[in-house]
Amino acid sequence: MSTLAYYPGCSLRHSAAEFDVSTRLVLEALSVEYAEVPDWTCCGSSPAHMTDHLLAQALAARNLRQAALVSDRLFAPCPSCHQREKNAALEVRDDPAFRAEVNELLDTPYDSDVSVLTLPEVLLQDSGPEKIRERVQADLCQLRVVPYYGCLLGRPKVFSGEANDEQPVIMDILLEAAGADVRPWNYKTECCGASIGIPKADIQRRLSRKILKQALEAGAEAVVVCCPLCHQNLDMRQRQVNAAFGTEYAVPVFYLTQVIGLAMGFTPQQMMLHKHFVDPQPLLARALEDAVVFRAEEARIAAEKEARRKVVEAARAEKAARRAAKKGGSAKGQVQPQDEPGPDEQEDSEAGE
Amino acid sequence: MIRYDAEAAAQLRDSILQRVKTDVTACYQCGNCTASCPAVFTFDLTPNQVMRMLQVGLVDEVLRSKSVQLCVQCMTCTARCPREIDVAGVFEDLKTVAFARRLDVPEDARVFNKAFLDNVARFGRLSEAFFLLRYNLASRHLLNDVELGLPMVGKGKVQVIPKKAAGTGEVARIYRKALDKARARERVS
Amino acid sequence: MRIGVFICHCGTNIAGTVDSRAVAERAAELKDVVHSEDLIYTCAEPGQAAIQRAIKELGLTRVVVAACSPHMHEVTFRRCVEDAGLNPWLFEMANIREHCSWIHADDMQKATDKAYEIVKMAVAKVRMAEPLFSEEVDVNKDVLVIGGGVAGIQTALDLADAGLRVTIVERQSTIGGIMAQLDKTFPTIDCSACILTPRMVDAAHHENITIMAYSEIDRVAGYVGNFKVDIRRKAAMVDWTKCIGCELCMQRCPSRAPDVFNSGLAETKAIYIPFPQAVPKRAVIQTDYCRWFQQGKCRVCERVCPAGAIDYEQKDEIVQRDFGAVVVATGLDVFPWEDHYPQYGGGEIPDVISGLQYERMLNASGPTGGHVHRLSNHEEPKTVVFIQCVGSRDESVGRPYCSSVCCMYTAKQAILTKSHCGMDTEVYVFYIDIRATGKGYEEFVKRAQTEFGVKYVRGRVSKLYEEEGKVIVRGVDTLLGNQVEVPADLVVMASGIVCAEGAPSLAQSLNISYDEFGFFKESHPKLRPVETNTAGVFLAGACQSPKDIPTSVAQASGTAAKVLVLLAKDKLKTSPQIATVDQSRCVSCWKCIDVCPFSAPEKQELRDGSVKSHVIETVCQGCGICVATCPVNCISLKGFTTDSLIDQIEEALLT
Repeated sequence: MSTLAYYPGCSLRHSAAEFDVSTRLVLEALSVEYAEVPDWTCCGSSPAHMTDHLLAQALAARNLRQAALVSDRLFAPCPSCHQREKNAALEVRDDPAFRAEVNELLDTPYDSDVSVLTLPEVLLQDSGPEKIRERVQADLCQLRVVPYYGCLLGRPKVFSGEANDEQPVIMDILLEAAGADVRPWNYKTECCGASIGIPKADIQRRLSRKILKQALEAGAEAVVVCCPLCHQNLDMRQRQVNAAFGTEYAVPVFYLTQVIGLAMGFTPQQMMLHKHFVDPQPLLARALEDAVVFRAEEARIAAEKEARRKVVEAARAEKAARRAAKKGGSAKGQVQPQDEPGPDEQEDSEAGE
Repeated sequence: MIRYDAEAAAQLRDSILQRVKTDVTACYQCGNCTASCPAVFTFDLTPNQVMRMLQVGLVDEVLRSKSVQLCVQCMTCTARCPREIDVAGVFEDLKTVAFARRLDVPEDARVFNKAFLDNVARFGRLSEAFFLLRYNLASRHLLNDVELGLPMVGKGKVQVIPKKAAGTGEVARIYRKALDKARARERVS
Repeated sequence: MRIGVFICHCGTNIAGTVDSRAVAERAAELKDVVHSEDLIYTCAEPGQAAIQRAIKELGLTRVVVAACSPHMHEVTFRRCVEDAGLNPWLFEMANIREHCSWIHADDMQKATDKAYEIVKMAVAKVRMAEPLFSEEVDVNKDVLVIGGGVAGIQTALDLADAGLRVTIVERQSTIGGIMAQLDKTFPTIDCSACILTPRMVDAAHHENITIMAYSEIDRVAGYVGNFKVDIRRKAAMVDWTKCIGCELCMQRCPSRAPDVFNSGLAETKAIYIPFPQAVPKRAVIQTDYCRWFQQGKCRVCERVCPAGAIDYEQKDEIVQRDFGAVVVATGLDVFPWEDHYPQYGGGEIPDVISGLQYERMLNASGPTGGHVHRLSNHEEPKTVVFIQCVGSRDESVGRPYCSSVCCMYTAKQAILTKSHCGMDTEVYVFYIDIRATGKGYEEFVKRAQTEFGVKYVRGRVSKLYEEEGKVIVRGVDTLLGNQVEVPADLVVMASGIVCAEGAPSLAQSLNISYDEFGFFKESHPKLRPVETNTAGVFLAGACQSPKDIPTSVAQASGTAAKVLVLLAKDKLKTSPQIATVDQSRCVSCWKCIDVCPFSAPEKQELRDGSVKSHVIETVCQGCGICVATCPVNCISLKGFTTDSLIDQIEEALLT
C-alpha cells in the first residue's frame, strides 16, 4: 500500500508521547510506510466545532491540504483529530459551495480529496491480524484486557469503519492477533467524559469510574484504549476518581499500539510504560510469568490426553483382534449396532443405551 | 403559561433543517436521547426537553441553558434515536449560535474553548501548559488539577516552553475570519 | 357510428376546476359525436337514467363518460350501458378528475383545455372498440387455507360449517400457530390453550376439513375458481397413519435439538411432538439433529416405538389439489431483537429475554413449569423490568411501524408476574405510549397500574449492562425529566411483530403483493381489507398486518364471508379484456410464455403441424406484458388494441 500521511495531533507530542512513539515503532515493525504531515497545525478538536462550524472545518481542511503534499490517505491516532479531519474531508468533498467557503479562509486552497482513516483501520487494512500474529514474540495470553473504544472509534458508523456502533470489533481483532486475553464486555463505547473533565470534573469522574468498574466486572485487569483523552481520563485521573468516590482502583491503561508492540517484542522502556500514572509494569511482568506456567500446564494436559487416547486405541485394537479371531474373520464389514459405547462416547449418550 | 408561536417554530425548524440536516418535528419524545446521555445529571434541561422546546420555538431559553454548554458531543443520542434525528448535531449548532450571538452562558465550557483556541491561534499547536494556566485564571479555578502539575512535569508530559509552529499565522487568520463571519451572520438573522 | 359523450360535474370535484359544460359543448363538434351533455352526478340515478335514455332514444352505438377514475365507476357505467342494451365494452371512461381537476386546481382555463383533450382521446379510442363477450368458467368450490393458526382455523371452520370443503396446509407439525404458545390472553386472562385447543380439535374432526400438517405450498398455478396447487408433504420420517402420539420416542431419544415451540428457552429431542395438545399429535424427526441421519448411529426410536411407525426412508411427497379460492393466513414471527440491539446486550446477557420466551416461562406446561426464575442463577426475581417498543416504532432498526399488541401483552405479563412471584415483586414497564384500543383494554391497563401495582415509566431504555449480579436498566423518566437506572433481575423485551419467515416468496408464488416488511397487501386499506388484487386469493390474520387475536378472528370470519361470496355461484364470468395471438404472424419464439405471470399462453399445435402461441382465454388477466414483449407485435389486447391506442396518441398529438 502507498505511504500514509501521519497526523500526530497536539496531544501526541507531549502529554501522550507514549502513544506517538509506540505507534511509530509498531508501524515500522509492520513495514507500514508513513510520513508526518508537513507543518501540520491543531485541528481544533472539540473547542473549534463547539464554537463555530466553519472555523472547525477550515482548521481541519488546512491539514488536509498539507497532508495532500505527501499522500491522499491520512490517518490520525487521536480519534478526535480523526473525526475532525474526516468530517471536513467529507463535507468539503460533497459540497463544492462549502469547499469554496472554506477556501476563502485558507491562505492557499484545499483542492484534493484526501481519505481519512483511524489507527485501528490502518492496522487492520494496511497490515492485518495475520502479519501481527506472525511477529508475536511475547506471550500475552494471561494479560486480561478489555478494549475501550470510547465515543469516537465506534460511532458514527460512516466515520469509524465499524459495522456495529455499539459493539465495534477492530481493536478486539488486533488485540487477539497480538495474543492478549480479550474479554467481551458491554461498555465499549460509553463516554469517559472527554474534554469536559477540566471545566466540569463531576462528569468525567463519574463516567470514568463506571468504565473502570465495568472493566473489572468483565474479568479484565487492564483497559486498552486508542485515544489520548480517554487515556488521560482513565489513567492520569484515576487517582482523582479514587479521591472522588473513595475507591481504590489501580487499573493500568495501555494504548493499543503499546500492547501490540509489547507482543512483538519491544521493551516496556521502548513502549514508554514509565510515562503512565498507574504503572502497568508489575501487571505485565506477572502476566508474562503466568503465561509460562499456563503453557506448561497446557502441554501437560495435552500429553496426558494423548497418552490416554493411545491406551484406548490399543484396547480397541486388541478387542477387535480377539473378535476377529473368534469369528474367523467374518465379523469385519458388517454394521455393528451400537450396543457398547466406548469410554469417550459415554459422556454424551443418554438413557436408552 | 406558554403561548405557542407557530411562526417562530416553523422558522426554527427550517434553520435547523438547513444547517444540521435534521428535522426536529420528527421527535416523538421517547426520551432515548436523555436515557443515553452520559452528562445529563449535570444538565438543567434534559435533551428531550430541549428537543421539545425547539419544536415549539422556545429557542432563547435553550440557548442560555447549562445543557447546551455541558454537552460533551459523545454522539450517543444521535446513534440511538429511533427517529434517526441528529440530536448531538442540534446541540452543537446551539453552542455555535450562542457563541456567535455573544450570549451570556453558564458553566465554564465557553471559557475553556476560548482559552484553547486563543492558545492555538498563538502557537499553531496547543501548548498545553500555557493553555491550562490561562484557563485556570480565566475560570477562576486557580487550583484546578494542581495536584497533577508536578507529576506531569516529572513524566515529561508537559512542554514548558512553547514554540510557534510554522503555519501559526494562517491559523490565526482562519480563526479571526471565521469568527467575524459567524458574528456577522447572527447579527443579520 | 353514433357516439354519445357525457361530461360529469361530480358536484364541484370536477366542475370547481373544469368547465364541464364548455367541454361538453366542444365535444359535440367531434366527428361521429351525435350527443353531448354535462351531468351533475353521472353515477347517481338521474345521471345513469340520462345515459340510458340517450342510448335508447338516439340509437347510440358508443358511449364515453368523462368523470372520475375507472377504478371508481367503470364497472358501474358498464353495467349501466349494458342494461340499456349496449355491449358494455363499447364504453370508454375518461378520467378528468384524478387526472385533471384534482391536480390543476390553480388554472381553470388550462384544466378545461386538458379535460377536452382527454375526452377527445377517449372518443378516438372508443371509435375502434368492438363488442366483447365474457366467458363463463366452472368454479371449484374447494378452499385452500394456508396456515393453521387461529385465523386460518377460524376461516376454515366458518367455511366448513357453510358446507364447503376446506384444506388447511400448515408447515409445522401441528396447527395452533403462535396462539398455542401463549400462556394467557388479554384482557380476560383466559388460558390461551384452553380456548384454542377446542377449536383445533373441531377443525381436526370436522367432516369438511382436511388438515395437511408438516406441509408447504410448492407451486400454485391457475386462476380464480380453478387453482391447481402442488402441496409438499414433508418427510417426517414417521408414518403418521401408525403413530399414536405416545411420546415414548421423545423420552428415549438421546439427541438434543433446539425447541422452537418453547422459543429457545429449552431443548427438545431430535424426534419430537411440539406440545401435548398438538393437533395432529404425531412425531417428526428433525434430521439435522438426529444421530441416525448425521452419523449413522442410534435408531433407538425405531426400537421403542410400540406402533412401528418410524420410517427413515420417507421422502417428501408432492400432492396436487384443485381449489376455487385460496386464503392466506400465515401469521407472524417475533422480531429477532438480539440481532439488532447490541445496546441491550445483543442476546449475550442471560437474564434478558423476549416477550415470547417469557410467555413460555409463565406457562405451566412450559419449560419451567410456570415458575418464573432468572436464567443466570435460577432464583426468583425480585425486580422485573419490561421494555416496550423493541423492534417497533424504531427507524434505526428498519421497523417504523407499531406492532399493535405489545402494550397489551406487556401489561398482561406484568400482571402475571405479580401473581406468579408475589405482589411485593417490583415490576416496571418502560413505555413511550400505551396503545389500548380494544374492548376492555384501557380498563385492563388501569388494573395493572392500580390493582397490581405495576410501575409504568414513560421513557425508552437506552442501555442494559451487568453489574454486581444485576442487569442495570438505564432509561429515562421523561415526565420527571430524569435519567433513571433500575437494577433488575430479569428484563423482558416486548419484541415486535414481523412477517412469517418465507412470506415474500409465498407471495411471489401466489402472485400477490407485499409491502417492504413482508406483510401482504390488501386490495384497499380501508374498504377491502381481506381481498388481494389477485382474484381468488384472500388474506386473514396477522400476515396482512400486526393485530391481536380478537381482530384476527373477526377478520378471519370476514374473509370466510368474502370467499362464500365468490363461491356462491357455480360459474364465474371472466373478463373479456384478454390477449389474443395473431397466429399467422407468430414466430414461435415463446417470449410470451416466459414473461406471463399467470401462465396464460400455451404452445398450440395447429393442423398444419406448426406450433404457435395461444392464450388461454380463462387464465389471461389482461395485464398486457406479452403484448409489449412480442417482438413481432402479433399479440393484441382486446379492449386495448394497439390500433386504438395509436389513434388516441395521434388524436392528442396531431389535432
